[in-house]
Amino acid sequence: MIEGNLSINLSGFNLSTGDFKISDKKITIIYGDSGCGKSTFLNCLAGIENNYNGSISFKKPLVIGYVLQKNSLFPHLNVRENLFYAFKRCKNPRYTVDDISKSLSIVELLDKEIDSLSGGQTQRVSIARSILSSPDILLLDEPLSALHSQAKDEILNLIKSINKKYSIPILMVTHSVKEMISLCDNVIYMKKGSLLKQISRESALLEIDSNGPINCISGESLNKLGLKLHLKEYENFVIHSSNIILILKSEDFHFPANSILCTFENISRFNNEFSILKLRYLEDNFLYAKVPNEVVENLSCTLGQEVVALFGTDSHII
Amino acid sequence: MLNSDSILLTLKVASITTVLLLLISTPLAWWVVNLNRKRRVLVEAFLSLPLILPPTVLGFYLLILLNPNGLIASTLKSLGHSGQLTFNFTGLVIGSVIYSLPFTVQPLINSFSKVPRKYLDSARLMGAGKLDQFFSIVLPLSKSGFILGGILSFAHTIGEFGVVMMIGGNIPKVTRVVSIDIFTHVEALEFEKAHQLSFIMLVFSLIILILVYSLSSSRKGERND
Repeated sequence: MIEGNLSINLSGFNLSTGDFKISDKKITIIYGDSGCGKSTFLNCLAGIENNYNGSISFKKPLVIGYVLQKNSLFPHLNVRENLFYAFKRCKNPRYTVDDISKSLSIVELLDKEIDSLSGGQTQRVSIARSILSSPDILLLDEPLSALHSQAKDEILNLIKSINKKYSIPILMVTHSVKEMISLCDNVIYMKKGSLLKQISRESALLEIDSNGPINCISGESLNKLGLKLHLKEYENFVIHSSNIILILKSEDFHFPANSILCTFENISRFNNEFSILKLRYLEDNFLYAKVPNEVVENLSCTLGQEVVALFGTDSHII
Repeated sequence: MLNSDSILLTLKVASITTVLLLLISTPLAWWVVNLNRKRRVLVEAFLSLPLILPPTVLGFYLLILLNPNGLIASTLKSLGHSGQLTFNFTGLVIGSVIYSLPFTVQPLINSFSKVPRKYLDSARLMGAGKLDQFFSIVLPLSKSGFILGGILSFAHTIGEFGVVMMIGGNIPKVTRVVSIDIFTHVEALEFEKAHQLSFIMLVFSLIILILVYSLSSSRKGERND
């Protein structure tokens, strides 16, 4: 567990976090817009930035692995030498260079020079090097920001598998909703210069977009619903609440592939024009629909009433 | 026939001076790079004094400082050394080291400053201590600074005149380096010998400058993100 409270002033930029606690088991995402102080926060945790007020405490002394936003592989060493750099300096090595190279599929890169690597390969090697320090926690600062979409997916899966396989807790900074949704167990949601409370993924989906909640349906749920969208178990179907159309279920209703049968749970006012309808599906899953107020009045829903949610074409799989 | 004594002496002084300068300047430059801004300005200004100070002024102060009855010489004498630091080879080397110091320190300071902080941060997080960071990251990434500093100090030592004249005088085979030899030949109206030596110096200087410029143009092409 990492706990603390810090405030920092760096050439006019203020960051004041309030009390924070970071779980030491799962993947925690620090989510926020660019320039809100996410990287500064990570630098403070790593001890790279230590000119701050307040304190950071660790339950026990931590070995921190940190993959910086900019490529920090040493250019005068090749891939193998970069990996050994970390391995040789690790006091209690838990992994060997061989194991990690195989596991992260970088064996064929070992003799390459750093400047000959692609963006995705660089990130793979950077992550491998960090793991070879046998860290108690791995910090990743926007590890996907410089990658094209295929490499992004590869690294996303790699990050998930590292957390699972090696049980290394991960703290990752991102400003991408997609990365947040596909990776996180917990979210630390930052607004410019301040650290907001740590929230669950479900709460994060409700809060992070000022235009309304974001729905995330797992591949597993979709399979249970019998929707043939060809999703893998770990993939997610993401739908913004404003892209859901509600239809009252009738006897002769034919379900298209892009629909889910839900029951009406409750309603809350979003603003003067819209309300958010909370709908239940598959027993304990919820879907949120952003609906104009006048439509809500016409729907005249009652608790437990069956409603069909149709989702729009710009929903996407991640 | 050209007397090669002065050439050999000059090369010997320059070689020893360059080796000494690289040894002294490496920790000195690293210390300067890690100073805070105000102190760094002061120290860099002080270290650069030999660049603009007339060599005779530098030579004069060194002569005072190293005179056989001075503090340094007396201390050496009490340690069993002869205490003779002027008008001999030792004096020549001491004078050259101080005179050429900025030509080694400055390229090293520039090179060390250019090593991106992210590499040092990463190394530290992997458990590398300060000294380890210096030897494993800073030194190998500053190769061109060492080459440049070495070449410049070697060349600069070869061309010195004023300091050598003040602290070493003009003793054949002991302190008479090429530049002083040329001066001596001119004074004696031996223009042919002066020509020969001057031409060698001219070619040598040109080669050094070509080396320096080709090195700095290849440095500009280096990827250093």
